[in-house]
Amino acid sequence: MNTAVATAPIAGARYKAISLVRRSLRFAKREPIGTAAGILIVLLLASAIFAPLIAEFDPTKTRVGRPFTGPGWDHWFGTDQVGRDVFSRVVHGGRVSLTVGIVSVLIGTTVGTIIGMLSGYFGGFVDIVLQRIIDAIMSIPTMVLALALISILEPGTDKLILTIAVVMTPSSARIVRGAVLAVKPNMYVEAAKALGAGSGRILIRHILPNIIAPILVIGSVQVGNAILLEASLSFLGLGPPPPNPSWGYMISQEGRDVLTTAPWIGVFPGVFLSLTVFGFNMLGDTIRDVLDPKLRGRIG
Amino acid sequence: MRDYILKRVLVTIPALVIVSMMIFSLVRLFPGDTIVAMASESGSFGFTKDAENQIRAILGIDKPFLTQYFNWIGGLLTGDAGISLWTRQPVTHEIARTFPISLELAVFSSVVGIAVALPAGIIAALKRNTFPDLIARFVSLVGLSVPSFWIATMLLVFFSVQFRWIPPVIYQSFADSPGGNLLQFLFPSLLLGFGLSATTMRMTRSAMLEVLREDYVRTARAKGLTERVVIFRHALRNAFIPVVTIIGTQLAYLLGGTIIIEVIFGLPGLGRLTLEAVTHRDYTQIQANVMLIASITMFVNLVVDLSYGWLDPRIRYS
Repeated sequence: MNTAVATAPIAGARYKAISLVRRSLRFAKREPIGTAAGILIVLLLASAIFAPLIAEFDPTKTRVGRPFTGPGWDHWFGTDQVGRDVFSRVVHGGRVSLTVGIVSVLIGTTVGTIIGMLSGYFGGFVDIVLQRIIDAIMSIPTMVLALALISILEPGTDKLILTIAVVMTPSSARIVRGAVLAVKPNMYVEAAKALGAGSGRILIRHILPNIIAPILVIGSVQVGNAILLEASLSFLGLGPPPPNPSWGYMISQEGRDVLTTAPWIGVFPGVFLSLTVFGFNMLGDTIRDVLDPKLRGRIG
Repeated sequence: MRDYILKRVLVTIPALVIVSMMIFSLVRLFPGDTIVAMASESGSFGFTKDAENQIRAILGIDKPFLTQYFNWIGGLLTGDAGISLWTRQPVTHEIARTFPISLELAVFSSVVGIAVALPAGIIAALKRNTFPDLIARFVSLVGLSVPSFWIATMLLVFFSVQFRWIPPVIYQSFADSPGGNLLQFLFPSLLLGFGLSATTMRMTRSAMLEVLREDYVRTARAKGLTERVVIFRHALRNAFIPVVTIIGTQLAYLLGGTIIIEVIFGLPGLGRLTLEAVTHRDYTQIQANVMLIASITMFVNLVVDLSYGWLDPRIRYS
């Protein structure tokens, strides 16, 4: 398909572009909420990537404005108790949240996928042992597990990512295992085996492409969960150390006590946090709807 | 049914052993200098080589690994989970004090959650793609996305301004002041309950939708049963398995202590105890709390699994 695009005449390319726009519009019409979620996430990602360009002020610099200035033209989201620009802090805080959320889920889902594939494909003793370990980890609530892990690791963004990745691994392993079990009895797996393909080749070339849908769904929902977990840990003061901006910390430590007199300090990070999680949840829902053949084409 | 129960119980035991080993090794992963730090931090020991050895003795880490593990497990089985490094009381004292609070919160929140989620989920499924369905789905998605700690923070401010109500700093037990106790649990339970109802409602809705398409529902309708009988006796019971799973998971999660809500509303429950143990680096307490929470979760999961067998005879015999 790639070569077809590369060698296509210019007219074909233009036709392709138009058809892409048309297809996007059609998709937007069929999945309005999913499209909105996609746009929302793209905007949030863009603001995180280009944070230094968007945010006018240094998020950690104090006295860039008078303390407790309300939202206005100079400081869109106002300033906090030490005169830091809340908008800059929210934008940079998003950078932390999205980085932690996405990187930890990438690690967690990758490890989970590998474990789930091995467990589901080989079955037997390996499966039993791995599943009991997953049972064991999953019996500890995510927040408690995260707390216990953080208590041994020193605080810091990389430790936070590691902790959340560990917390996210078992559930993706379990879902991937289920998906592998569903795919394994298919004829094409048998055929590959009959042709003499090795286990590695079967897993990567034949099974993985067919279980990508559930992996994408769990991944995107987990990014939302990971961001919530990061915010919760920051709320408890176990997130990235201050003065680095972090949404959870801004809500609890900076905004909470002055919520009646300077509500903008705690409200804006909360709104952004909610929107981000909402976006990823909706994205997961949409991916499920679009990729699940059982739901595809169903009316309503 | 007996075989099914036996099989499930036998699967739970190794997981319980694994989790105990995990928790136990986790505590042993603390670097040696952490113990020095503990000795200086905790104050009660003073910073001496003696203090360090004392902590090692309390943790029992002066003995070989396996001996330590079996000592700990033996202790757990006889109700002795060790001495808290912070309060220097048996860790079970603290657990006995905090667990009823988490239990009360868990029960109230579950009741609220189920009372909201089941009717909303059933109505949303029956009236699919109508206004009530859209509202229910939208509200539940908001409930899933808006962090409870943020809502809680905002609500507290609202209450304090509107009703001049702030969560009491001192916890009132039910025996001391039934009214005060219930009032203390009212807002956190409502908040947690609504939050939990989002997931349960979505699960109820999709399970109902799935079941309503089944042949046996069509048959039930075709043979002239009233819609109420069709829905409650034929559809709901079959839609219940995933819903029971969700409710069970949530109950287990609640019993483990909902750390943030307990902190915000000043409830000295198991969750807050765990957080305090982490901040104090009170490893014996962390170890005991996590083990207790994990055991509860496994027990609840076991009960949920057994209820499948009761709800759906096919599972019993497979």
